[in-house]
Amino acid sequence: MSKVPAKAGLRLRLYVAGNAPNSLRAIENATAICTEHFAAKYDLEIIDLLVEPQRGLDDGIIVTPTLLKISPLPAHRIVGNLADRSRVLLALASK
Amino acid sequence: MSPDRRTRPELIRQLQEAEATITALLSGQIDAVVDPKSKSTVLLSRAQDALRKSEDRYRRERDSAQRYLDTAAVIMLALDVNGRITLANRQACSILGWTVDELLGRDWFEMCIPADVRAAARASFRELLAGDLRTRASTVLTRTEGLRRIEWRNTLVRDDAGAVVGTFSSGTDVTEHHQTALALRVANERVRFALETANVGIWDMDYGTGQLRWSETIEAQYGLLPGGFGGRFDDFIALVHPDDREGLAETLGTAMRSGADFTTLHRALLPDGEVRWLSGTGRIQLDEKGKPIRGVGISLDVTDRHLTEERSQQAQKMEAVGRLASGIAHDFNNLLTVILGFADFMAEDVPAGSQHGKDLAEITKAARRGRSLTRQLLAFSRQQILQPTAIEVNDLIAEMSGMFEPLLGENIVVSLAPGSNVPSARADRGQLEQIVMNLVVNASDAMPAGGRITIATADVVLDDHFDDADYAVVPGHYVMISVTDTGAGMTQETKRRLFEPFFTTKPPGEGTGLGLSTTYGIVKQSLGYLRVSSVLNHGTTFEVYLPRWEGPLPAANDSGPAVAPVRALTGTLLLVEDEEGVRKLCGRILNRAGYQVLEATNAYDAERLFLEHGGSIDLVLTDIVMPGRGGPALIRRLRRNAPDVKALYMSGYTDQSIPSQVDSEGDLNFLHKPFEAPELLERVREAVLK
Repeated sequence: MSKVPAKAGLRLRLYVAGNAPNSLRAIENATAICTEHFAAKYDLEIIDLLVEPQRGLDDGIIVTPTLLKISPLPAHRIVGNLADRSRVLLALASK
Repeated sequence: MSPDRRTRPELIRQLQEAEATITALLSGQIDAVVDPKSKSTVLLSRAQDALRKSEDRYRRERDSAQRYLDTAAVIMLALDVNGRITLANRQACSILGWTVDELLGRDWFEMCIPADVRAAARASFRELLAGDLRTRASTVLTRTEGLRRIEWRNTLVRDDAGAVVGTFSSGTDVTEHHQTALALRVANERVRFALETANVGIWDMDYGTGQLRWSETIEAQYGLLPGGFGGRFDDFIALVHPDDREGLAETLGTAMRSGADFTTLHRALLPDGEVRWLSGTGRIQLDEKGKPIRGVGISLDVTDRHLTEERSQQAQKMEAVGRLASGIAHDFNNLLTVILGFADFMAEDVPAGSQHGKDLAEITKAARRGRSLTRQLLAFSRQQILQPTAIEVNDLIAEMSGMFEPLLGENIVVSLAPGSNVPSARADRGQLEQIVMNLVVNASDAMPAGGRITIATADVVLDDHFDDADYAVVPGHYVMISVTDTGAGMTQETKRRLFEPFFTTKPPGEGTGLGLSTTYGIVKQSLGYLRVSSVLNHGTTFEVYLPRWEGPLPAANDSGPAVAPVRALTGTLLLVEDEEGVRKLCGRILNRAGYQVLEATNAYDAERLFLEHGGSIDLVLTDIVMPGRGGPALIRRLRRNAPDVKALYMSGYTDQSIPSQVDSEGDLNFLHKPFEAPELLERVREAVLK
């Protein structure tokens, strides 16, 4: 897979539920994708909704794991453990 | 830019996100759900755990239920309303021989019910679905074509709305039980059959309730219809012959006190007046205080056996009397012969009108009565010598009918009903006359107020079903003479003792009690049979069956006694008689009549005298039974040298073998002792002229 040029301000939030299996895999996959395709130009915030459920509510999150692309706009949500990388990359690249 | 236009892509995106969420959920990539209500995040794993736990519990319960079903010793079977199998436990599989998978979904009735009872089983299933929850038993067919008997307890399975959706049944394999019950029933049936066939009745008595139960066989023994017995002890006693009630009550009373087994023999008095002998065995259970609780026993109709024993005793009694009679008759008859003979001589010298003449007449009368009695005794004991000839019974009865009138009362009518084509009977004419006379007098005596006596004859074929009390019947043609009266009839007791010598229903002094026993003896000695039927208050019929005459018929001649020619008799007679009185009497009678008489006291002297006198002896007159050599043996010896020698036997009673001995010699010249002078002279004259 070719490298996607890093865009300034790729901000992601990954909502997880403790160390539940899909959450752990989602963290792993998100980190790998970011590292691989966006080098160091990204900001990945991991939020444990078991600890901070209100933040999920605030962001309209229904289930975990959910990856929320905050910027660049438009915002986008990817639900699941992010194992399908092509789908994740497509979503991150969407405008 | 309108807000709508800005929001459309947003909506599409949200839809896409929702779809992605659902996809993730379905593919198991979701860990937790944020619950806006409780403002908390709920781990799906917990929910799943709970679900899993719930599922586990369900599974455990299900397994436990299945284990229960499988370990149950009974068959568990559920069917839907169409009879298809929806559940079968291991026991069901084990008994039926199919696996669960083979059973589930199949039509129970097609698969597991034998074809011949399938329709009935389906009908029963429909009843069950309609709410008839009774326990049912059915035969099921196993995979290996075996048959098992299953008893089912049933319940209906309903859905939430209460509609019946199937049945649930537990089944117990009762094959062995069923077979045992069947075997027991067969065994019971067998016992019942054996008891019924053997005519054994069963009773049991509950002393608590006083209920006495009888089997139908006992009811029949007492002449009751099935269910006709009243069921109380008093009802039983009422059926017992009044004479036996006391003894029976005593036996039962003793048993009720002792608890020991008891046996009974009593007479039952049937509603129609018949008397039967019943033998019983029983046992009465006592409680610890010695009070009777329950009694059981059997009852057996032994009438036939009892009557046979009675008859056998009767026959023995008659034999004994017969032996006694014949034992004394010989000597007695010799005495009577001598008394009669010498009284006759004296009468010639004594005027009839004088006192001595009257006394002599009394002596003669008494001696004649004695002779008549002796003859009857001998006839009854079948010891007298019969001289059977061919007899036309119709003629004989017609001739005799003239004799009846003076004997019978004026109010008695005798009617004859001679049969047609009745063959000649083989009998002793004189004895047959006595039989008919006895029966007619007997019939007359049964009708003191008058009535009708019917004498009938017939040609009859007897088979071995003929009911003669004492003897097996020789099948064949017989000549029957019946004498029927319209008199009082006989009681069972009278009928039983009828032929017993000296048994009489007449007042003392009237009748000797020998009439019917004489008749009986003559009939038996004539190889005939005697049958009596009597209905109380309606009359009695005696039937005499005599053998048919089988030989050629003698030429018809005047059977009346030949008139003795009045002329002096001549010739030389050899008189052989061991009894001195008889010898002297005979010698004197014959001498006076003009014969030369040589007297011998035994066969040896006789043989010597015969030889000494060469061919001059015209007739040997000899006693049959003598010490040493008898009459027939003497005649045989004499005939070796003089084949034409004529013989006349004198005989009392003697043994039945003697007639056949004499018969074999080809002649049958007999003179019955006791005799009187005219009879002796007539027989001697006949014999000499022969």
